[in-house]
Amino acid sequence: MTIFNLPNLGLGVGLRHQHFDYILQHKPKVDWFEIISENFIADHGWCKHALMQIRQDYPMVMHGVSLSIGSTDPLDKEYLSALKKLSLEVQPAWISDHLCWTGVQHLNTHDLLPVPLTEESLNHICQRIHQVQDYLQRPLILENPSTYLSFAASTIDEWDFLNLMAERTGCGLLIDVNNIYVSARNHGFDPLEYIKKLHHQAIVQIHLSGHTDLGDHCIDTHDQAVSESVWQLYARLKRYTGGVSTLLEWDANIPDFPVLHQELLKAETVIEGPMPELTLESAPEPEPDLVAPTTQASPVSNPIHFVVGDAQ
Amino acid sequence: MKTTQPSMPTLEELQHLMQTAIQHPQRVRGTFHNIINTSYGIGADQRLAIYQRGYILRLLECMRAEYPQLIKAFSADWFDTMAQHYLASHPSSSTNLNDLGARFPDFLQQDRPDKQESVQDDAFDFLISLATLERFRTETSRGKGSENADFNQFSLLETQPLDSLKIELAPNLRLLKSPFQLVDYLTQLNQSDNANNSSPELIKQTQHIAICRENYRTQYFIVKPWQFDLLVLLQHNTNLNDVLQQINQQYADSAIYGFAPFFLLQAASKGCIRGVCLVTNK
Ligand SMILES: [Fe+2]
Repeated sequence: MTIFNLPNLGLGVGLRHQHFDYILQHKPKVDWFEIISENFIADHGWCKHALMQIRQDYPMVMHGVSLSIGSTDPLDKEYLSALKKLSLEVQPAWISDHLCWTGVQHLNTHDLLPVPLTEESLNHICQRIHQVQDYLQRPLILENPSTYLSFAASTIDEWDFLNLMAERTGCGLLIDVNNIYVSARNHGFDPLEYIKKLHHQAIVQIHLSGHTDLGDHCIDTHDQAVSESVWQLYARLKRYTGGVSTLLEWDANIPDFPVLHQELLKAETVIEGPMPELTLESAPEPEPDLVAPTTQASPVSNPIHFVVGDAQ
Repeated sequence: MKTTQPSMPTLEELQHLMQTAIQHPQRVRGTFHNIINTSYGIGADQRLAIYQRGYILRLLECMRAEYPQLIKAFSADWFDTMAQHYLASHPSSSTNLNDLGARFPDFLQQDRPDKQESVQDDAFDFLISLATLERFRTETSRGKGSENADFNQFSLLETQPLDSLKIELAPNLRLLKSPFQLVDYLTQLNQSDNANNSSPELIKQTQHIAICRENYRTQYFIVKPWQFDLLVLLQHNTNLNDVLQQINQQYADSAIYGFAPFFLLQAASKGCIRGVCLVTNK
């Protein structure tokens, strides 16, 4: 199987346990769902049960956060085996994770940490993608993360890194347009150049989500509606790709399902409507010491959708 | 492509350094000036701080979700402080978050200030008992249960002599002997939430609790001491005859033998039992 056999699933949303009952009762007209693989790998309770029921009515994709493809630790064979086992049950259209590392020394920070974009990283990651693809017997799909720092050692632009990775391994790309926007604001690159220079034929899926704008930087909080700038980026990428599976992620302050669904359906209007003018706000003038000290109210990047709960 | 700057750490060195910085910010402050770019006036330490904050807040959120009653019974500030100490000494080594809070009750036990005292403070016993109950609830909720068990097999409890039976408990059954009437306390605690009543009464009297799951609903099943011990023994030995003999010896109460089938049927209906079969049916 190659990424070119993968279908366009249409418009989907990230499956969150708050919505299980609603989905089971109302069977909303959503094309597909994406699950966080780790939430179901070791679950034998209500959530797994509900997942398998929902799976009967909708196509699914397994999206992971712990593959740690960029880590210098050896690949976690136990995790890969559990992932494969879950995939045999869920039969996902594909399995995805992130271009990142999550920990070393067998620890897990449960964050999606950036890799320096160098030849060393590229070789290391490509060799690991080959290993994972051989084991899973399917192409891996990798997502661009949102980042808050860049390394002085980096020599490759992120879009080139993704292109080279896909070219060398046959892996597919999951392009999160919100992550591009957040990273562009945090590092000062042009998000339009980023999406233009991607190899569009390698893009299997697009992510949409909301972020928190703190003025001099943005945090990828997945806790609100998609911003206008991100919709504009989406519209452009939609045109470049000719249409690929699109998914809305919402992980904190999760609204009722109909609200989420309405937000997702905006993607249809963007697809069908005229291409909106792209007006991105420019980054403000540099102001030192603007990062807030540690407070409980700080917005959290990459929020975890932590599953706790039983049948209602 | 730009050219690499000299004397940069290898990928492996960089990841070890960055992980240390995220988990123990005070250890490596100032180390990253040549490694992380400054832009928009935001320097290396400030950029790292976004990851440091995110790390602790993200995991703290998971801990809060796992121990809501502990927060309600004590306080959110106290809980956050304890949870942060716990996370610092018990960083996650799992690819999922199911076991993040697993050792929190043990940590509270190790951390109790009256550990060396001859008389122990009830408040700490209560705290640890409540934390254990909450952890068990999580384990029962996520564990392998008895939902797919064939209900017909439970009729063996009525039709066959007990000494001919083997009992397989649900793997997600958890058993807690609390020095307090914990379930009653929690009922009051959650009621006072809505009615804005006075603080719930905590009665110091042993309570035997089976935490079980029936049709994907986790519940507390309060049992008698002999019933509790019966379940504890069955967790290690599936032969009902052996177990009942031990219970008989322990309690010297012949009536228990007569009550046992009713109790086991009740336990099965609450999801405590996954399988019943005849001893000869290996
Ligand atoms: Fe994403």
